Amino acid sequence: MAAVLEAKNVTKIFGGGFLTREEENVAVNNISMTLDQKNPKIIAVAGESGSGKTTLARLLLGIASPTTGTVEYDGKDLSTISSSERREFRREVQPIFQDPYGSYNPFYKVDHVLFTPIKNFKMAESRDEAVDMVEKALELVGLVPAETLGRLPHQLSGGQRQRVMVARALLLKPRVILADEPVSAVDASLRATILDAVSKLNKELGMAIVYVTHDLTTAYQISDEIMILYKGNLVEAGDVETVIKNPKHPYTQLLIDSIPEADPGKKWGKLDMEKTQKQILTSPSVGWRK
Amino acid sequence: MATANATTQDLTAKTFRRRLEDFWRYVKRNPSLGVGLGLFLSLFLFVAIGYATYEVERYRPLSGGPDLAPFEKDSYNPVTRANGYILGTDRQGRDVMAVMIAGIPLTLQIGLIAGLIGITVGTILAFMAAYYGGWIDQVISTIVDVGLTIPGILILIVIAVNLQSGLSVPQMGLAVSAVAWVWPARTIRAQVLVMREQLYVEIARLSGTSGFSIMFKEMLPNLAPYIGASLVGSVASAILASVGLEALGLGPFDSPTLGMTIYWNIQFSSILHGMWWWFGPPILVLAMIFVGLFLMTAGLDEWSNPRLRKRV
Amino acid sequence: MTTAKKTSKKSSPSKSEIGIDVQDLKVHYDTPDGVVKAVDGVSFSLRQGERMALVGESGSGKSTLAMALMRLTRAPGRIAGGKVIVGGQDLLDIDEEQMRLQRLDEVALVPQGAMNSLNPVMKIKNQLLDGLYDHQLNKTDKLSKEEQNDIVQALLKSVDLAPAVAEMYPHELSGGMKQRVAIAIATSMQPRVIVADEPTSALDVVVQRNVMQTLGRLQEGLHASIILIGHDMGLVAQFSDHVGVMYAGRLVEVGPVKTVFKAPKHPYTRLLIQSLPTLSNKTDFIGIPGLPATLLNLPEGCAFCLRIGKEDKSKIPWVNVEKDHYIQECKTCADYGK
Repeated sequence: MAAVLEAKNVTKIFGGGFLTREEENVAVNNISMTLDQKNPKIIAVAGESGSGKTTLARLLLGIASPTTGTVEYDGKDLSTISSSERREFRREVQPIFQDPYGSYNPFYKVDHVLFTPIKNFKMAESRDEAVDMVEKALELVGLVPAETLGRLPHQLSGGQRQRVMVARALLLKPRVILADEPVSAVDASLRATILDAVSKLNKELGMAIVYVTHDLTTAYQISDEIMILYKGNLVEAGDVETVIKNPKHPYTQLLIDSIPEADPGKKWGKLDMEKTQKQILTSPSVGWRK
Repeated sequence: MATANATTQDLTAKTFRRRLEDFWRYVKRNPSLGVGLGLFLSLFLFVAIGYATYEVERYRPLSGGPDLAPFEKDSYNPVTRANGYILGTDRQGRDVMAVMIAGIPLTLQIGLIAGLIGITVGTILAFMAAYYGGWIDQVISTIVDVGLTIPGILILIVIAVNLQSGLSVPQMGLAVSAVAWVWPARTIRAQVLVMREQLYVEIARLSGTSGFSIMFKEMLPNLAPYIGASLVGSVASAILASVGLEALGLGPFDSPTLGMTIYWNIQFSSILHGMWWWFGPPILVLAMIFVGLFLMTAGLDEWSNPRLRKRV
Repeated sequence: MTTAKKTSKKSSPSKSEIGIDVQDLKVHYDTPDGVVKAVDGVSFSLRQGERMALVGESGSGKSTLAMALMRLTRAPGRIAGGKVIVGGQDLLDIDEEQMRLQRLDEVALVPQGAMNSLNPVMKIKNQLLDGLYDHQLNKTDKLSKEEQNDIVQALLKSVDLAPAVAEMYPHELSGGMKQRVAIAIATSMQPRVIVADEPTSALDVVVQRNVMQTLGRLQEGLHASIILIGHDMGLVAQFSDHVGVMYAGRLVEVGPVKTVFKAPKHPYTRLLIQSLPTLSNKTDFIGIPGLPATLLNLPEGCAFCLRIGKEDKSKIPWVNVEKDHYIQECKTCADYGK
């Protein structure tokens, strides 16, 4: 099994040093996950704030390094690869961030974010070729190049900006995409088009996708597998239909129970909060379900 | 926001007239900038018209009789100067009006040289310290922090005293720039530290942009308004420092800068002698310069910090 | 609810009373490019004790509406017309000083990002008392330390916060706790109407549920009307009795939550509901086509038609389709998305 990106028992601890007054914070506690190349899937990493999901994403992106454990790219430990291998890694593993406004340099038109990587990674021979690549990518995400290029970031809607980010990820044809809450900051009604674009990246272009979110509903709609994180620990993981329809760990059950469904008939919040909280504290992780 | 029915309006092309309208509207909403610019504009006009219509050569000593009140008949040149001089003359026979016309640009020049050098050096050091961190940051920050605690005037006096052999106006500017870079270095470093954490910088890095390019292409353009505002502040401090030095007698003696004029005023006790036409104008002009610069800084501050702007 | 004698002399409003009656409310912004009609003639009424949600995309005018109900609209925006009747009084008709007294007392706001609107250098207890104190300033008797403490503890208890929270500062609290403090402040004077502008948008789903349940409980206890502004249709479905859908500054559909969700009559509502993902089964992603409308120089007639590429310039009637259920009935786009 060729794993393109793999986290092996990674733990990340912040603070707690001898001289600092900061308390020790175990952001990620002994989590392992594999992204497979031959059979690329969309894996959701779900959890609330403080669950460690963003830290895990940053570890996978190589922006942060694990306290213990390793993150391996094509079998090679990220902390020991050469700088040319690192450049390749940078190209092959691309992010889509949550903030559709902050991702853009307000001084430049949105073209900047699309053409910069083409230039830096020497992906096109000529300007015309680059323009062609950019236009195709924009069309794939449902945007009209003539109405998108040449605009400043604030002249596009949040949904459009996010789709441009997806187009950028597309351009680079990475093997892995790490999407960190890509639709949280976008209107509920515009999320569908973005998720559709992300889904296409996997289904049509064979990219493995890690979808980090706190929204179980979109995670359910888009992913094949799901990992539920709670305070840095993996409490339950597996095939998304199994986990969502038949949750075993009390935390998963609580999460699902707390989701307000857009159906007045289906009432939310049936679980007893106090009892469930106690259960969560005492239940061990269910691990990966078969 | 992009919208359905704004089809024909191309949001990116703006005619010159439109830009002017926008600018004027902004100035009305931002009175500090408007008044500041206005003060400066009037000084520029004064100098320009002066150079065009007046005999500015008469800023030199012995251009006319000494101690003449405005419009007082010049007994040394009774025919040509029957109507006297608009602002009279000083103790050494300088035509005060000419001194003002010649002196304003010189003082501003000192401020500009010192300010520009100060900002450039300060920005470079600030970027290096903030972006690279580590020991580079430690070294630069320590120098800056220590430098800020030493009174700039002391350093300037030491420099000026050692350069006594005929200090020229550009040399004056260079001397002041030696202390003008410290404060900008500190404030711009703080801004860069914040910028470094911005998401778009991270994205640029992940897109393969090198450190240097990130500084120049990603961060600098966004800092431009802030640097502009700092520049104005720098220029104001530089002018103040230069006037201070000149008033102490450590400036370019042959130049009619505002500071030197103040120096001569002090030397010849113009206030005691009631020569209001001699001490009045430089004080008034200096006041205009400082108020103008201050208002401009306040106005630019509002412009460069979008959160302060009263936007729709 | 507070038990201190100073604030309990309010009578509880009766069930059949109208809590808030909004008539043809207009909020306009004067921009150099023209007038932006952020809220363009919105009317609805809510009985005392009922819950209403106002939903819409960004730019639909719902937050502007929330601010206008409190008369907190800031320049360059201005209230250009209409009435907001609370407790028999038109809030838009009274002077500034009277309005100031009405805020918190009759109409309270739980703002968006309430966690950021708490004063970072004031202890919680002082912030809870702040509004009360301001309203008492006109009266000569001041509250004793004991009475103050009683009020603070009662308020904290009403939102399920521990007594120790009184002595803490905002940064020591979690997001959910800060939001509860905001709710406590908003309900401290037993208002008749609570306007909650996206009160849980930044909160985790479990915390959100807790906070909404707390808010709901308090509202019921006070028998207040609550207007919830948001874009989370799931939250709307679970929390409210009525729902109003806004588009381009206008209300396009208003009605009981059960009927609107089951059988939406306006095409925009239909599309909104269709675009929502569910946990029941995997479906294709159905988005809403086009872009949200611009409010600048909005043409006459149906705003939604423009979104789907149609046009209808006639005056769209506000039609009562069934009990308490009204829509903007535009014949041209009525069947879109069925």
